[in-house]
Amino acid sequence: MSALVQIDNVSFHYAKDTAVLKDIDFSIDKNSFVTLLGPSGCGKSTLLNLIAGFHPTYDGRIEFEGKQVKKPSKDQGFVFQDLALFPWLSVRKNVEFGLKMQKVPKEKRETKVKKMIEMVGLSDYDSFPISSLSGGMKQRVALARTLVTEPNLLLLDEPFSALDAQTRDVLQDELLQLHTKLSTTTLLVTHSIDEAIYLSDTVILLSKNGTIKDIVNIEIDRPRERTSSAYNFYQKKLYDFLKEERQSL
Amino acid sequence: MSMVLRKVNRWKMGWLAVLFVLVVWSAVSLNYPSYVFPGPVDVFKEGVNQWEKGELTSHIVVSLKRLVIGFFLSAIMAFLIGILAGASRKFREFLTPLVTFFQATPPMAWAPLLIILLGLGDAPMIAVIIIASFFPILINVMQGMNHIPESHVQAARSLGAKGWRLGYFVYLPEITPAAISGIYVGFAISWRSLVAAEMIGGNSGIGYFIAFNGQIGNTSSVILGILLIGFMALLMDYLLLKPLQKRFAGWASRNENE
Ligand SMILES: Nc1ncnc2c1ncn2[C@@H]1O[C@H](COP(=O)(O)OP(=O)(O)OP(=O)(O)O)[C@@H](O)[C@H]1O
Ligand SMILES: [Mg+2]
Repeated sequence: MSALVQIDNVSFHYAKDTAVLKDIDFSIDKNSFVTLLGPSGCGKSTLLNLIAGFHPTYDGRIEFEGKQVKKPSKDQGFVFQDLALFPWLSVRKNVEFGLKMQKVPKEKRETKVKKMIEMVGLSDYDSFPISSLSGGMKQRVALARTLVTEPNLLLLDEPFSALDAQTRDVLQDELLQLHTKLSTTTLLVTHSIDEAIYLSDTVILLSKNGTIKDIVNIEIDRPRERTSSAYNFYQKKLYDFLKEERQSL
Repeated sequence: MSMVLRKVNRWKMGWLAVLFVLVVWSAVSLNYPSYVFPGPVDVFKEGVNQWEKGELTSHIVVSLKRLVIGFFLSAIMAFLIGILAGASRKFREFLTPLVTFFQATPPMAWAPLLIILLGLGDAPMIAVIIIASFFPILINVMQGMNHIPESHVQAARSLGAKGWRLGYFVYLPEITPAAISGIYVGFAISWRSLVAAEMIGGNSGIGYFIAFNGQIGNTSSVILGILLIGFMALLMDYLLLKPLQKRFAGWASRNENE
């Protein structure tokens, strides 16, 4: 397996502020599912934004598909913490947006959009305005809007944090199914230990001070049983990490 | 069903208001000779009379033509300049004192100068409309630009939008609700300013019609003119502004209802 994203010695600070991220080193293999886990404010969103090319000036080197990241690339798909759906467009038009911007011909666009909306189970809602959808449905639209452009890397910033527990579980399974089906390399930011273990091949633990504390490979076969002893083993491990972080405040 | 009922009710209250005005007006007018303060019936007769002469119609058409042309030009300029100002901080800083200055001057105050500069025809009137409506729309467009969520722009960019496409497919819809509020304000100011400008220095238009009839003591026509001004504003609201808002900014009010 080769690395799709390679991060070497990256540090970053916002204008005038002290460093938010320090000496970050890791890589993301093609087709893998990687999670960034850490306490609030440790720089998870910042790191995701750096990889997405939203902050072009940083120290060190970030490579995506072998090229240094300097600006957003259409080969990366980003799902924002606040979803950033376009409220003036219907479900279908939202999903179509990226393809339209990338000048995909109309006919091809329509088949792709239709298929994608089916895949996330929203066919009956395709002409609905965004404001009329539930939280989980909005989440599906955001995912569909990003995945329809067939990105090589999917970046997700706490996509499920605003949802109730049941909807979250359902959507986690759907995300895994999509990940398996489309084999899109995925980097997910989360607060949730359970989400990290349930979904990922690798969990990167970010410390309060903006460094990587540890990188943990989750070696459990899928589908994962939340009650298995292996699952509990990782739960305890990650829980101890977050507890330590809290105490180091 | 209940929505239809509510609508009927709203209309009923509206007609009740009209009836109320007519009654009070009639009552007051009974105390004066009709050449001093004519009642509704006199004014209605005068309306029929003027309609048959056809002159009034042409004044109305002239005013409306000026309004539509001036307003259209003004809105386009305000959109373009407002988007540029929203995108560039330097340009915004350059514009701010100008906006404050022009906002403080009543558009009407420009009319005498404009008439000397541009003559008596449509040009000075259209200029007054532009001065009156440009700044409210501009300010609202700039505010709209300020309130675009950063994540919407980032999302659009990461989906491949750039250049004019980013402007047309993201910035434009984002600012439209704010811009339409500006259009409402600008419309009200420019309609009033136009009529006033026509009154002081014109030879055509509904404002001129009122001023002229005032001078010859035709009070029925003066009141007819005033009624028409208000009525035309209502008509524009229903036929132009409301549909515009519904079509381009409906999503924003839907979001508020969430
Ligand atoms: N645009 C910005 N300008 C200045 N400082 C910022 C900006 N965005 C974030 N920060 C700061 O950088 C640090 C990391 O923020 P970031 O949003 O990356 O954290 P996070 O791990 O995603 O937190 P959360 O889990 O709460 O979303 C915080 O101290 C935050 O205050
Ligand atoms: Mg965050």
